[in-house]
Amino acid sequence: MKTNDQTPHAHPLQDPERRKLLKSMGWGGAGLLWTMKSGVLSAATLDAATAGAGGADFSFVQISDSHIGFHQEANPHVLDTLQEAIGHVNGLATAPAFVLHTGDVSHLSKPEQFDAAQQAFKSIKTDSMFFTPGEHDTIGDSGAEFFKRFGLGNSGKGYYSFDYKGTHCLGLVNVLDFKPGGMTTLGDEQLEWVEKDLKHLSSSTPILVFAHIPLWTVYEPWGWGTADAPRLYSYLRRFGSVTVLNGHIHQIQQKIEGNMTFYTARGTAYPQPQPGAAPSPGPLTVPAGQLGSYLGIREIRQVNVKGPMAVTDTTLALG
Amino acid sequence: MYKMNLYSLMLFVGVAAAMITGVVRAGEPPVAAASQEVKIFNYKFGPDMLTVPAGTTVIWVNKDEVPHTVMSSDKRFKSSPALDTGDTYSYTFTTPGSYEYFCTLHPFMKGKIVVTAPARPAPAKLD
Repeated sequence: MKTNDQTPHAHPLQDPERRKLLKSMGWGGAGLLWTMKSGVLSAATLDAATAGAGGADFSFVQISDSHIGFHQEANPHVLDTLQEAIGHVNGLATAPAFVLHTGDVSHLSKPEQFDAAQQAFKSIKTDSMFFTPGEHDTIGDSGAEFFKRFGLGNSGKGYYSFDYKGTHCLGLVNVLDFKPGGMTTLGDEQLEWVEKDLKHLSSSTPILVFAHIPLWTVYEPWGWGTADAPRLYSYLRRFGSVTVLNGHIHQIQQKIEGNMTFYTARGTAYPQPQPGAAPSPGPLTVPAGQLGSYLGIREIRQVNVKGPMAVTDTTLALG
Repeated sequence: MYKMNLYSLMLFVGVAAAMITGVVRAGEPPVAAASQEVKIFNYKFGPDMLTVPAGTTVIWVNKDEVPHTVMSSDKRFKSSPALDTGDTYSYTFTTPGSYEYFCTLHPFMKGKIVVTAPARPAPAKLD
């Protein structure tokens, strides 16, 4: 699978013919499996026969990049759009087992911004929320304010792992170890921790990894990648099903490599340009009324522990 | 109508210049010390290399719609806090040398301040 695919990702639901096809395939929020083979994106509903053993199935939600505190033209009301996104989460047919926030909760790491975000999160109908910091959450204090609120996890360093119904989940941090002039890194200490954490798991354990900055190189000139990600892959490759969820770029990009599927996500704050489509990755102001179609949430369903998780992206415009 | 004689006008201008540039050295004739600006725009430091004499205050101004920071790559000068749109950060470089820096939010953004030996005032002409 080519790794530098920078062609724009046509949103499948924009095509009315495709929408009809998906409807006839029974898409009703039950979960679509998107796969990319030879550069062609295709959708298939989940075959009941491939459903995993009862009890291992669950669904959860990813939201990202709420940037509370941002107030420029691209979206002067980021708290409103976060609340709208939360409304969508609460409107899902199945309440999520947990909600992930893949970072940039705040825009400037200010206490009042974290406060406002946490106040909004209180209305999410779910049992747990897990967080990983974005670089906007760790300005000037190496994440002290962020970790005070969201915890340092079982590593004591901000990254952590947990198990849910047999799926092993890792929340990693890639916004604290930057190389000046280069892409971010996970760092040796965190990678050694990951190696140890995964060591005793059987390869049939489904794995979920989440971190803020993309864990594959989406676009190096804008820092959209993690320099030492290949070392992470070396620990993940033996597993039969690995799903990687990231944020940071405020748009959906994806990649499949062997049994590893990588997705970035839309944010709930403001759009950014596609790789190389603008002189810089700054906030993109879109025509009035269109902002909602660039923001959204993601529902992820674990239904086939032997294969990829099922991912359904919805925007605030589509409801 | 405010009446100024030439002496008080010169004094006013000299003190004003010293106040604006933030330097008045006791015991020396007032010299206007330089300050130079680096604009942060479109995820770039402009100019990305700036050469200044020691004693110059460099002022970074963020003209982008996103925050940026100024962090010394080898921690040889104090890093800025988060600079939101319109915020500025000033640092006076007193020691000659080459100071590389980058933005912690967007580490592909790099810049350098090259500090040369202090500027000497031009010798006064005596004729």
